[in-house]
Formats: sequence, C-alpha cells, structure tokens
Amino acid sequence: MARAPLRTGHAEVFAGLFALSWLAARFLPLLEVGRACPFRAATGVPCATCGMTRAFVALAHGDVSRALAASPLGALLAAGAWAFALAAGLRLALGLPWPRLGAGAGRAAALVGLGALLANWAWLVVAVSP
Amino acid sequence: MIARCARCQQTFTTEAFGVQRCPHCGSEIHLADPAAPAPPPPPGPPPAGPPWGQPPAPPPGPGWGQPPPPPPSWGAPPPSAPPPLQPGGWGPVPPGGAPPPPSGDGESAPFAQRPRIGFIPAFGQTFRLVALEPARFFRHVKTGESGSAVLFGLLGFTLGGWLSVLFSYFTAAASFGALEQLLRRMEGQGVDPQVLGWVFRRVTLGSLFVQMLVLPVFGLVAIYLVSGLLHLVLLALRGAPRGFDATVTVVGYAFGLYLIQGLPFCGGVIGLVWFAVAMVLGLAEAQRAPTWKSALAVAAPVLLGCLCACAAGAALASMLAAMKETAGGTSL
Repeated sequence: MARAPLRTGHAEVFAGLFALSWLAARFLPLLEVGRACPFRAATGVPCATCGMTRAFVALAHGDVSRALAASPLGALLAAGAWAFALAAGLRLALGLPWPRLGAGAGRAAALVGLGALLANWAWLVVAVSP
Repeated sequence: MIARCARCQQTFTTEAFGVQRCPHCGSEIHLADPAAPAPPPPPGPPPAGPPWGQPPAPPPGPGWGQPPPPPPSWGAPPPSAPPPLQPGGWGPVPPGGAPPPPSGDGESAPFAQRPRIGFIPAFGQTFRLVALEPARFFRHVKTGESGSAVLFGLLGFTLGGWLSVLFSYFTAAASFGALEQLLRRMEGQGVDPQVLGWVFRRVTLGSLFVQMLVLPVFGLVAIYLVSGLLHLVLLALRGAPRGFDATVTVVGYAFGLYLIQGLPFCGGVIGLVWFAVAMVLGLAEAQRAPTWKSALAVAAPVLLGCLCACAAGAALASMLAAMKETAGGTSL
C-alpha cells in the first residue's frame, strides 16, 4: 500500500529555525558581540529576556547549570526548542503524524508560557539585579 | 443586479441587460446578457493574443456584475478607457460601505496569483492593498496561502533592508571621506589618513555584505518569531479562532511593508509604525477578533515591559522605604 505523502508546514519551519538556533549557539561567537540590553540600561532592571542568549549558548555547550543560572526560562526554551526540532526530524524520517492537540491546549500553553515568562522575570529581577 | 460603470467606476442597480446609461456620469455602457448566445466574432484582423505568452485575462471578481474591459493593446489606452479591474476581486470598494467578510476561505491575494498576473504587478498590487487598505485586504484574503504571505514579507523586508543598508554604507562613506580630509590636514603630526580610511572602508564593506547576506534569514526568523508570539497572546485572549495560518498570513503581508525602510532617513520609523497599524487592523480582520484584542497582542511586549518595570520600580521603592525605616529604627 502506498504511503500518503507527509505534509510539511509551519511546524517544520519552526523546527528548522530551532535547529538553526542550536547551530548559532554552538558555533557562532554570540557572546563576544558586545550588546547591552537597552531596557536594563534605561531602567537598571533586567528585561524578561535578559540572559537568554547566555542560556542558549551554555546549553548548546552542555553546561546545564550555567544555562539555568543565566535564565531558567531560556534554558527550558532552548531544551524544548531543540527537542522539538529533533522530534520533527524523526517524524519526517519515520513518516509519523503529529499528535493531535485539543482545542484548549494552545490557550493553556499560552497562559502557562505567560506565567513562566513573568516568573522568570521576577526571578531575574530578584536574583540577578545588583 | 449591481453593475459598475466602466468610466467612473461607480456602481448602480439595474434589472435589464443591454445598453444602459450610468446614473452617475451619464456615459453609455453595455451589459452583456450571460444567457444570450455569444456574438459572432467581429470582422477584421484577429485580436492579438496576450503579450509575452501570458494566459488570458482572468474572470472578474465575484459580485461586480460586469464583464472586465478588454485588455490594453500595445499602444497607450485611449483617454476615456477605464482602469482595468484588478484580478481576484481586489478592485475599488463600491460605495455604500465595506462588504461583510466572505463566508468561505476568502480570496487569493494578488501576490498569491503571481504566476497569472506577473511577479512585479502582483507584488505592487498586494503592497498597495496592504499599505492603503489593510482592513479590507485582511478581511477578504485567503488564509490558507500563508506561504505566499511569508514570501511577500521576506521580499519586502529584505529589499527594504538592503536599500537601508546601502544608504547607510554610502552616507558612512561620505562621513569617512570628510574624516579622511580632516586627517590629511593632520598628516604632518604622524597620522596616516590613507591607512585609517582603508580600514574604515574595509570594515564597512565587510559589514555591508554580512548584513545583506543575513537579512533574508533574519526576516524569516522574525516573521515566524513574531507570528508565534502574537499567536500565543491571541490564544490567551481567545482571539485566534481562525488558527495560526491567519496569524502568519497577517504577519507575512504586514512584514512586506518594511520595504518602506528603504526610504532614506525616516524610512525605518515610518515602516515600523505602518507595520504596527497594519498588524492591529489585519489581525482583527483576519482572526475575526475585536480590535482591542489585536491591539493588545501587538502591544503586549511593550506593555509587559512597562508593567514589569513599574512593578519592579514599585518593589524597589518599597524595599528602599523599608530599609530606611529599619535604619531609622536602629539608630534610635
């Protein structure tokens, strides 16, 4: 029986971008580019995404503790994004379908993500601010 | 039946086919009866086929009630010739307000019809619709063709970015020229203006090429990143009933407006503001969501930043007050 052709779409584009982020974090000298956070420069408080680049770079080099210290959400995001890229590659290779999510799953994920972002920001403000 | 005057482009209601007089401008127009047999071909030389091997003219958009005017020939059109209707039903809005959203998938954007229209005309028509009529465009556009939207955004963003980078390079070169002249006056004090100018130019040229190479990748990343973030906020607000495709379509077409950043000096700011306005209107229309939800989604990162900065500021102020109180108590 002929197998139905695999559909590729936005999920695969995201997977490609996530894979690209791993390559960039692993092989590009991202931390050597001197960039200051304008939000932090203006307010003295780190922004919600401060430390994300350091977290991605540290995790791409296998340094989990340094990644978590730089930004817990950044480390989780990096791990999740690269796991997603791997899963998308495996799905394409094995010809498996994506699991079907319920209607409320997207909204629940969005609310959890927003909560995680705020919690991470609070942690950065408390733990990282001088 | 609604008919449109070929001269003044106004619409009017009529019940009969055949020769009619436009109530707006008084010009005579012919409404062909679709049930009547096709008229015999006119005598004389056969009409020339579409130039450059293009396919024949498309059928008119839905609901306009008038056959399209003949395609323009090689010469300039006569002065009274009406402007041709745009393919896909993207012509001017008839008087009486905007029509309701389509019940089906919507209409393909001109850019999604580029094999038929031609690449540059399709890009131009889509750009005009997104820039000047974003609400109408995103209300009617088909959301299942997000690939075209992403390509449109990528092209607009990349071309605008390239123009901006080139402009920066040439203005920087002019600045370096002035600096070189200044250094030439200081040549007697041991300064070599040639070497400094060479270094400046080399660095700028190198960065120019790197930026131009990176821009398309950066554009793709930005389109998907912005789409993902906006969609998450819309999901949290229950403002994304038409799914991620609709969000990507809006973001993709709105990113095409970044072509404006190629304008010297203020293109970046104008492009950013125009992009934000198109996004707010477009997300509301494409997702069939209230405008406040789309506005909140677009402004969410800024609002979140302000909120957290304010919260952090308030926390810091209360901490300082508490410390002052404690210090005061200790001193007593």
